Amino acid sequence: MLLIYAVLCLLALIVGWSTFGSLNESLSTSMEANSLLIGFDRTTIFDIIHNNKNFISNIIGPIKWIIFLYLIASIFMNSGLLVNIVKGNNSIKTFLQNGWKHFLPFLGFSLITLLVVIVWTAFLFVPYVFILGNPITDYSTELPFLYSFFIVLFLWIIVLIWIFTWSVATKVSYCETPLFWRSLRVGFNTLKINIIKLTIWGIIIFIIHLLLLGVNLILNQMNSAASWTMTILTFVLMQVVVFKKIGVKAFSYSGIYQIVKQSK
Amino acid sequence: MAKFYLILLLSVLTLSIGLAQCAYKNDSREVSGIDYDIKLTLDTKGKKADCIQILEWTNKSPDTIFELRFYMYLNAFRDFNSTYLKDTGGKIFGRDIANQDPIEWGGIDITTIKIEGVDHLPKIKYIHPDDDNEQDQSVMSIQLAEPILPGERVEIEMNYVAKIPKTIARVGYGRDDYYLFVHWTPQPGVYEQDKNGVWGWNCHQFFQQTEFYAEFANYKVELTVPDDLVIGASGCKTGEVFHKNGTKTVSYDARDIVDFAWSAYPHFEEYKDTWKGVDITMLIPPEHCSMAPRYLGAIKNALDYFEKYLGKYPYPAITVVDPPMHALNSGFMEYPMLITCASFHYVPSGIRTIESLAIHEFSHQYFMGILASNEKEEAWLDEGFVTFFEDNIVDHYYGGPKASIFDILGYKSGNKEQSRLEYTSMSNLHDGPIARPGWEFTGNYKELIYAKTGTMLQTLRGLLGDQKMQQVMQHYYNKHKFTHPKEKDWIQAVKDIIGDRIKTISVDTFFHQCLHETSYCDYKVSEIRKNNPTEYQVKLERLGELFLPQELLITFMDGSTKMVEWDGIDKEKIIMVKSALPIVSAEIDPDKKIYLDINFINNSYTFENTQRPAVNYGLKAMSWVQHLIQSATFLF
Repeated sequence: MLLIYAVLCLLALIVGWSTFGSLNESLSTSMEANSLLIGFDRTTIFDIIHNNKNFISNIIGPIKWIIFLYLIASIFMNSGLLVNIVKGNNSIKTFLQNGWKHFLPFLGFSLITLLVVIVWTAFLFVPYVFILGNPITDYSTELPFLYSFFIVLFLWIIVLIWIFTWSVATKVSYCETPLFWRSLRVGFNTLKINIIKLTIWGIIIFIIHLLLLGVNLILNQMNSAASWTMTILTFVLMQVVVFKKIGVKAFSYSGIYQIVKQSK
Repeated sequence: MAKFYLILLLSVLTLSIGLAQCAYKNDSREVSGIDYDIKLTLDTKGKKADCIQILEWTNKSPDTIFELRFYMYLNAFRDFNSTYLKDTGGKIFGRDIANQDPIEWGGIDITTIKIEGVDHLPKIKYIHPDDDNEQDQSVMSIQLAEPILPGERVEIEMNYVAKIPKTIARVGYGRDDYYLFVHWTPQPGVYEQDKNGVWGWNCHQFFQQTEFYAEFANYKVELTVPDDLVIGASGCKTGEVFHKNGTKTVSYDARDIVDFAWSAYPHFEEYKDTWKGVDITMLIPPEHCSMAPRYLGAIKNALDYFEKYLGKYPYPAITVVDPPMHALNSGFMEYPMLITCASFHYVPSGIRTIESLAIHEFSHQYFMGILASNEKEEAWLDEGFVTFFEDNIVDHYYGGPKASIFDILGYKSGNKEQSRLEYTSMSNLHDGPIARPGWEFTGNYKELIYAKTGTMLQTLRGLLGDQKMQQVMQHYYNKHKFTHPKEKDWIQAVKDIIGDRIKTISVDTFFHQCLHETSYCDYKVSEIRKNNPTEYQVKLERLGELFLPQELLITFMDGSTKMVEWDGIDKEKIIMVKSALPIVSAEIDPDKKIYLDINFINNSYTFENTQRPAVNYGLKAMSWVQHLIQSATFLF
């Protein structure tokens, strides 16, 4: 987990650094820097954006590459992590060896999972938008639109949870019997047999995930640049949340593995 | 528990219906030269109204008048030949009207018209004073059989059918018998003096970018409608009679207003309250009822602010209409004594666009309603002033200047700063002057008319100080209330209070630059240089074309300061400072009085800057990216 965290930190640092650089360049000699000491100041931020056209692109630009790089790296790390969980091994050496060994098949599983996610999203939302019509003019009130949207959102999340658990069950199966297509089938059957348990588990993980995001949001609001102590303290707390989130992922793998193991 | 308190509050508001007594203090008509007596019968199937209108019109000019001109706004929605719709390409405000049903169009069909008992129907013709569109029917001209002499009062009797369109641009009908009836009457234009002092009709065609301009009038209106409709209207309700055929006749009396509007919907819930004798009525669909306390708070805050800052609200009532979602196109609009807002089933309390919109539309009661400037020719005189007051009121009552309109999940914004940023975010800051007729705008209407004008007034306030600004506003209001003030009247009102100059700049130059030029304001402290141990030079630059008097605050090592004034005219200015103490910083306009400055970042130069904000935001960005990509991996 520490290794995953370290990679995550290194990649995110690129965005952090470019944000720091862009802001520092814009505010280097300006007293408006003081307006950001106690928190967000819309006038200052937007004056920077309006008068430094590259400000946003300097920050957003690296993000897409970082997401791509991290997703590739995460396939490597997740395979190492999952194999260690399945084999009951905690050594870095086996983590790296298995990460490398299972990289290509896990990449395949991930791409298939991603494809299913895209198909599911399109399958759900495209007809929904067509059936819904114009939410402003086609209904007497906005309530049908609002409630139907929440129902569709709930459905979307539930099926995403199934896709995620199917993906993990598939990978678990592959760790035990390294046959690609068979693993996909076994993963699906495992999901079918344990659907209630896995759904509940997935919802628990999702809620924990949301809670951690909420904590991060609160920390962000508490955060200020009033002093170095405050800056560092809130950053450290935010990093604890990030680390916990990685832990949640390992926890979710472990839970799914236990459910799969019990069902055999 | 919160729901209990909400229900309790709403119940109290509803129970107070019996307490409300909307009434004018006496029977006299104050300032108007026009009296309407309208009897309307609503046909809910045909989405139209049969109207009998008796209009008494007084010639207040020194001219003998041979022609009357009337606005026929609903004719803009008759077909695609109207000036209003001809360039829409079939789409307007998100609505596809190209293939709409015949019932969804609008228009006014006059069946009889008699002036002093003489039939004038054959003398009607439609004119197009502003463009070459012969098909446009938004202005009607009537050649008079007998001229109207100065001071003479004539009676004009009309029968007509007002067909309202499906909700479009401020007016119309919606699902389930929702109606917003505005501009359904043939309404006389304004016979007034132009810029050169020549009397004539000011009665422009209806353009998409323009609003309205009419004479003050008194209204007696009787609305006969199905008895299940809940109605709100301009003026005071004076009677309600139920008929055996399932209809009712509701009567209204309204005085000294420039327009009469009414809305009806069977699902409206009516909430009432009073504030210092002003009846407040809110008509809200059930799904938005949680917004009632927010609307009420906003209207009371606006009434309170205006009474203290400008003058007491002169009308006995105000009605707030919150249209249902399907009739959203009829929201966001102001009429005398009736405003339409917009809300949603749930809006978090940290998003105060509900309050901001209600305050904006209420502010129009003063700027448009009482100071009835020409919204077609000089829209900035109402929308810009309204933006100024909206900004001040929202910032004053809700969360302060940095968090009044948005304060949610760490994102904060003040209303005033939002207006400034709307202006400064224009892609082309040179895109035309503010002071031009609405129909000449091809874009950036809101940015210039609302935001830049509001920001200009904040700048004027910064330069004059709060107290003087209030005096100016009060003087303008008292001098011109219930008239049609123009740009020159506003500028004269400023001069009456402060004289011809605002610090080093003339009042005329200030307004000419802001209103008639396309210039923008941007000042910069570009350098502080040490020439020798006891002499420094501070270099200032004017990057924009607009020049305004500036203050420069120089801060020394020991914390002492020195304020230097500059007329702001030169493109470059070097300020020499003799001091044994090193200069730490120099800041132009330290109190941000010149709110029109498009970039506050370059207004200062300091040697003692902290990197903490940059580090802090860098670390924050890092944390959010970690969350984002870590969450994304759950999809793999």
